[in-house]
Amino acid sequence: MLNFLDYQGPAGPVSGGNIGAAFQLMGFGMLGILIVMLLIFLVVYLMNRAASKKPEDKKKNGG
Amino acid sequence: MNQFAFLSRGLQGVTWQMVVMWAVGSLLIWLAIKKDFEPSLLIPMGFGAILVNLPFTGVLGDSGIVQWLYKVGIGASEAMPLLLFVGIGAMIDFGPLLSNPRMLLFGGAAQFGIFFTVLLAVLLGFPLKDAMSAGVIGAADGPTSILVAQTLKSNYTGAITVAAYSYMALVPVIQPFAIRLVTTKKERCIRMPYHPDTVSKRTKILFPILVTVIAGLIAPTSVALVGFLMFGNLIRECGKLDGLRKTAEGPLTNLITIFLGITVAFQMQADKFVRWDTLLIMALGLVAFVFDTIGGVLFAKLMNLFLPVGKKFNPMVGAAGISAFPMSARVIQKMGLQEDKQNHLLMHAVGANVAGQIGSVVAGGIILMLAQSLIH
Repeated sequence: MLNFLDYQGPAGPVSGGNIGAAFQLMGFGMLGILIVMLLIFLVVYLMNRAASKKPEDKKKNGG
Repeated sequence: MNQFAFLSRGLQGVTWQMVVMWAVGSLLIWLAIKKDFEPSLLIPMGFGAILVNLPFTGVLGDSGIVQWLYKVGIGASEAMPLLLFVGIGAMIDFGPLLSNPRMLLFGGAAQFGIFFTVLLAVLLGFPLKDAMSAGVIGAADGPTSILVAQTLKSNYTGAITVAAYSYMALVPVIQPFAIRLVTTKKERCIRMPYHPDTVSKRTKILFPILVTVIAGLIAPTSVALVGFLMFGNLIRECGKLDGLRKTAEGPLTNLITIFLGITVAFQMQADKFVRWDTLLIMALGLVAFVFDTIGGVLFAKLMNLFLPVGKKFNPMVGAAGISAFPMSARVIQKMGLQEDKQNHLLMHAVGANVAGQIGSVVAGGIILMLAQSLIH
């Protein structure tokens, strides 16, 4: 589909297909990493909240 | 006289490419000893580079020890880099990150250089598998670079490994330059008070398990990297395996490091290494480091657009989201103090830096996963 981008690069032939794949890798790769990091962030945030609530609950219950 | 010809056989087998590799090996040893650049890796690698480039060397071939180490320790299962991750995991304290989990996002953003470099390498004409492997130099993470290059069967594994480890040692030179390119003095002076939340022991124990599950579910190919790193961390945090923790962060790491360097040198044979495209790969690695730094800084600046005054990030902290631990955090602390003697950024930078450890292995895993569908 991107064949019109084909040319000879200094390290070898460049294909439009590979350029498209590199952009795809950049988009999906960064998205994937940010999703994983965001999920870990949410999990840590929830764990920290749960941990900080516990002592308060204990105080309220007189323990 | 012909009976003595065997004495000169080795000398006659010397090629100019071998001499170049002796010089490369000597340079690595010099950098390690004189400049203190990652001595534990550069000395074995430098010596290995000389060892495998002697004519008719006995360390190569079917019965050669270096070839055997490479075949078993890296080629067959990537055992060496993965086992090293257990030791690294046992050394890392995720506390500063757990008390300030926002830093996790920098560990993701600062992987941008990897993908930018893949694109650049493709535009230069490298095949996709070599472009991906060169990009991962930007992970600033030696074991991940070796694993990805090896799994993708890159022709430049040796150059990639040398670049990954030597640039990691050059973080104090590369990062300040890249940070100054994209920040103003005013931004570098932003203060970030440090008020860490206390982190419970339960959180510290659950963290490595949950990270492994999340990374494994989203990027299954990253599970070997993430899993071994987190296994090492679980040994550290569980509080029941003190002997194992000490072994993992000491003798295990040292043993693997001794042999990893010399084993990687297998890929530094003159006929594979002394090529001008090797230099291009090394240059691409440098680009990856610079754009990782820029990616982290720009992401911090982007987040600052949505944060109120007093809660803004010092954008330099974003640059610590690379995996080079603890060099990058130290660089940010030093730069912060250079701009403002009261601006202590160390703990924030350490949080971003350990997030970079996670980000880099996840990036490696995601690249391996995407490679399955993108490389035909």
